[in-house]
Amino acid sequence: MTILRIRVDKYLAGRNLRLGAVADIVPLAAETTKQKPVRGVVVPVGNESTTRDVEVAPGRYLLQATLPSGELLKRYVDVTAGTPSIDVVLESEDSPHEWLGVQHLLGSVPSRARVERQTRQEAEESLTLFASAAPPSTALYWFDASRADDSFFSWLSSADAIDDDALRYLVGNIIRSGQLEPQLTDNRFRKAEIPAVGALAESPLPQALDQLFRHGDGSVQPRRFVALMEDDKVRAIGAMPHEWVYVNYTRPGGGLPVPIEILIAPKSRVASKVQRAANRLSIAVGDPDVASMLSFLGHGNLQAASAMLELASEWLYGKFENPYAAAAGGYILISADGVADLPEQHWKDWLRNLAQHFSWLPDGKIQLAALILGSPEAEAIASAPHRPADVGNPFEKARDLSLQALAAGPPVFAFGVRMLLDNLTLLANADRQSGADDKRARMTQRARDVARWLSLRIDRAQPFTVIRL
Amino acid sequence: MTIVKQDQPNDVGTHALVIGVGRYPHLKGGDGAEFPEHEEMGQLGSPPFSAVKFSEWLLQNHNNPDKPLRSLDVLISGPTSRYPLFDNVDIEPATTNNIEQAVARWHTSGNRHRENLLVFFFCGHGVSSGEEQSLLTQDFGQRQNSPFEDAISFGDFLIGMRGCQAAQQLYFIDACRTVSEEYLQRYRFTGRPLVDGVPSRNLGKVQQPVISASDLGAAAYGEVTKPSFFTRALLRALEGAGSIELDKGWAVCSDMLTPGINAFLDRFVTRAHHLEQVAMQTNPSKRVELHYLAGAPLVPVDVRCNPDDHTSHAELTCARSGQVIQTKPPGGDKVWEVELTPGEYEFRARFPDNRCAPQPKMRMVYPPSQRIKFDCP
Repeated sequence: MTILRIRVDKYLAGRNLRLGAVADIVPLAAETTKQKPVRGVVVPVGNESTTRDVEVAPGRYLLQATLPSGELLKRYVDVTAGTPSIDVVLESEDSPHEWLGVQHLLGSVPSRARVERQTRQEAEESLTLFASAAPPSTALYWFDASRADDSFFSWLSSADAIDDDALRYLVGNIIRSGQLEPQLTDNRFRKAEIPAVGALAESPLPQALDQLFRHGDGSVQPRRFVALMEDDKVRAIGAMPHEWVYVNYTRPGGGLPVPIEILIAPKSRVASKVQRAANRLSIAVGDPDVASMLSFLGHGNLQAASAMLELASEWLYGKFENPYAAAAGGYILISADGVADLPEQHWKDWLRNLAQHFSWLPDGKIQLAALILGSPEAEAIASAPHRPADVGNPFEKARDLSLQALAAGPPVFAFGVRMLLDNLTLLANADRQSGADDKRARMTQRARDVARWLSLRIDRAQPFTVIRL
Repeated sequence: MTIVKQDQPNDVGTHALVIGVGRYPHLKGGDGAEFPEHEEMGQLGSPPFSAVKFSEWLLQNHNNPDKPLRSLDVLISGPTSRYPLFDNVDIEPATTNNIEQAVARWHTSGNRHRENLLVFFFCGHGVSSGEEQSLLTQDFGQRQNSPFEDAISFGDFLIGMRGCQAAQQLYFIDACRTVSEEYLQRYRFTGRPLVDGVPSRNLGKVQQPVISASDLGAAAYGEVTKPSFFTRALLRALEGAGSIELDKGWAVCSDMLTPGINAFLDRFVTRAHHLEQVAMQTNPSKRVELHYLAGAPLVPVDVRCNPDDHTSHAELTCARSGQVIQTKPPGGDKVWEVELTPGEYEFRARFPDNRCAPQPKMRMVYPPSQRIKFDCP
């Protein structure tokens, strides 16, 4: 037997994604076709020499790895008898810049070749038109929702009709807290990196309070957002997962906060013709494990994300270290529930804890509501002709969770927006079918309208919630 | 009602609903009262051709021994209602009412068995914003104050279909996903759900991969008298580029289809028309097996020289086990496009004018695609 030492080589500015790609190893030659393919092998991505080792018999193999961006890498390997090991290095397409390596791997920016092609086309178009509009001046601001205006999200969740202009005014003039300067730029992309520890705090936090931020019951955690402004108008608001702790104590850097990347990138040519904003805002975290799994899920590839279910369960378990990663794990586990072999059933209890202990985090509540609405109990109650109004029943519990989630602000993850809308739609439909028209039914309907408002404005291509205005 | 096939519909199998909307009477160039806010959307040539071609594939080529085609319902809005494929039976137009009824029948069929596979194919106008995508029926614009009464709210439709027993549901959406935020937001309504979703124990247990013709915010392209590029690429990918070798043979699966489709979109759109169109799978989903190939898959292989303009000067050959299988004489395009079955091939480039002499290349060919490049310094 021979060990294949597999990795994907890609420059990620010193980072290495342990769970960066998912590969299939398919036997090809006649002597190996009796062997079954090995599917769903998780392969590291980066410049480190860390490899994923897989033992195979002599023969010819196809290695096919999918990256979070959807890029497919192929390599053929001939294994001869007596060879102890073979290094198999797959190479990804180039990113537009080395400092955009992570964003390219995750699918937030196209490859260098595609950017060059787009640039050539744009240059040809502008020659034809003899003129092109000057790009808008852009700026990035961060704001802390709880500090800026306590009523911001309660206003958002209770408004009968959401008005973009009012929201833009609020964000632009009232709750702007500080400016972020992009450190790396070219004529298309600008990237700001928020360092890992205490970057947004006005003064260093006492150690005890710092611990409370990350290890407490979560009730004091402020929601932090970033706003993209063009010509002094707010064009996008992104939910910032600050502070993000790398939940892996067996690796260097485990248990420590990681930086957050905020990227301003131009919109596609087609999109820019019909949208007000000229740029897109995208957010990425420097977590070597979570980032790639979220991108797989964002590209609809549950097949690949399912190869990492055990980790998703671990993140959910480690919710007090990193509630954001726990929420990411929750989305993956709920998506795979019923269609994949999940590591164990305790994750549903951990999901309940996430929803209960982190009142500021809407995602846990959204996930628990979805879990409840898919239960036989909720189905039985929803289909009963006279539904009990008892708030203790699971159907009403799901309603409470959904309403509380909306009041806590936009979900951190874009999946949450769709899931929240789905939950509220299911509840509103059940109300309508049973003829319910009480105060709670009306609140649900209004909440659904707000969730629809969010759903219409989020950037679907981003793992973190980015609302376009 | 236009059920063009019904075969033991109560047994486990595949149930397909195919919708092609090319005629929009109330949009630009239509024969009805024009909807003033048509946003430059007009008549489409491709969708009727796309719907017919995809139906033809389902009727004549679809092969899934565990889930044979049990029913096919077709709605087409185009210049004619009669097509030879359907024995010149009148095919009903894709009006809102007809779509609603067809979806109800399709849902009922799927609901009979958890093992059923549902296939939904839509080709026509689409608009999107954020998580929302609306698919426009033939009647769009008829109700000027509430145009989205004649649209399908695709996200809500998916929620509704999650209540259906059929555990596998595959959706092909061949429509533009250009972002029309203000358009959708103006009406505060994105369309009809067609099926109301309610709490159900099925919710988390239904696979709904959605394969969209274009990336979010991008256009999907077509030619007036042919199936759309996406449909053409899909049909080609169904011949093997979208397949994977499983225990039971070569299977075309949801997760392999997108790279297979994109290999052909690269040929049809990017290379031929210098436009960008990338198909995407959305909606997290596990693998859904659509079709088993009768033989070996056909894999698209693109052979070129670097620089590109050298390709037309070269004689290109590919050989297997020492025997030349295909040859391209000097002349032709910048890329030699061939389809080959999986295996190891030797590719050669020979220049009659002796401008360079690149080494032969031994390459394995395997789905979804293969690219061969000869560098000519």
